[in-house]
Amino acid sequence: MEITLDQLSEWLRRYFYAWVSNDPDDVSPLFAEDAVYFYGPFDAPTRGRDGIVKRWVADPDKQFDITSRYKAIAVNRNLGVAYWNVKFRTQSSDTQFNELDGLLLVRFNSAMECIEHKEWYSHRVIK
Amino acid sequence: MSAITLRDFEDWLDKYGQAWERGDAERVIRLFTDDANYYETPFDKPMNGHEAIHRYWSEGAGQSQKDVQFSAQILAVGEDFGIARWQAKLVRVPSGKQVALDGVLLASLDEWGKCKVFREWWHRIEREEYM
Repeated sequence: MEITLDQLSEWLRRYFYAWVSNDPDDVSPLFAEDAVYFYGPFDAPTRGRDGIVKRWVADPDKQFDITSRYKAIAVNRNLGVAYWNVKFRTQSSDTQFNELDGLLLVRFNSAMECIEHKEWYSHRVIK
Repeated sequence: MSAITLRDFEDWLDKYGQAWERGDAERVIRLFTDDANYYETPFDKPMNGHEAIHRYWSEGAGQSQKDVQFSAQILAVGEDFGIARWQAKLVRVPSGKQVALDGVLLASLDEWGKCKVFREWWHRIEREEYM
């Protein structure tokens, strides 16, 4: 199957919306039932939609003032590549911003659900 | 502006990997335009031009790394850029620490196949001296 940049952009819009809302009903439809979610190249992934949603919303240190930028930059068959940057504060350190900047690789099934999520990113704290 | 091909990017990526494995900064800068911007991380100012890129590579790969093994897989090729995932294993000099790096790179190429803008995002794990 071939995805388009527009389809990838639409999925990204919902993905970053779900980041802010942290609502399982927004997160769940993004992923296939058997999706695999890698948090980084050296970390064990979470397998399956239920586990992904659970980990997503668990949010031990609640984020707020979240702003995100993202761009669908390439597609190749069922793979989408996106650039993203997110800034947020957290409850435990609300005087500083965290900034994440990365590249996201998402593989889709024919229902445009993510079947594989991989990302590489840098993190910094802005005082 | 002519579109780059998969072959162009494959060629660039092969040479990049070889240059890194050899720790050869001369080979690295041949892959970049004179005024290339090289972002080693998204938050640092880019290195600009051959001199800065040469210094970075000769101090890094040239002098403080050995036994570098590089591999890469092309993920997508756009109008004037390529995106690849890469892995590198190396030993730090002089500490002997073993390092594994895993990243993605985005290289914008000009019509001569030289990189104008280089961006990468990567993660690292290290362990003490490898026995």
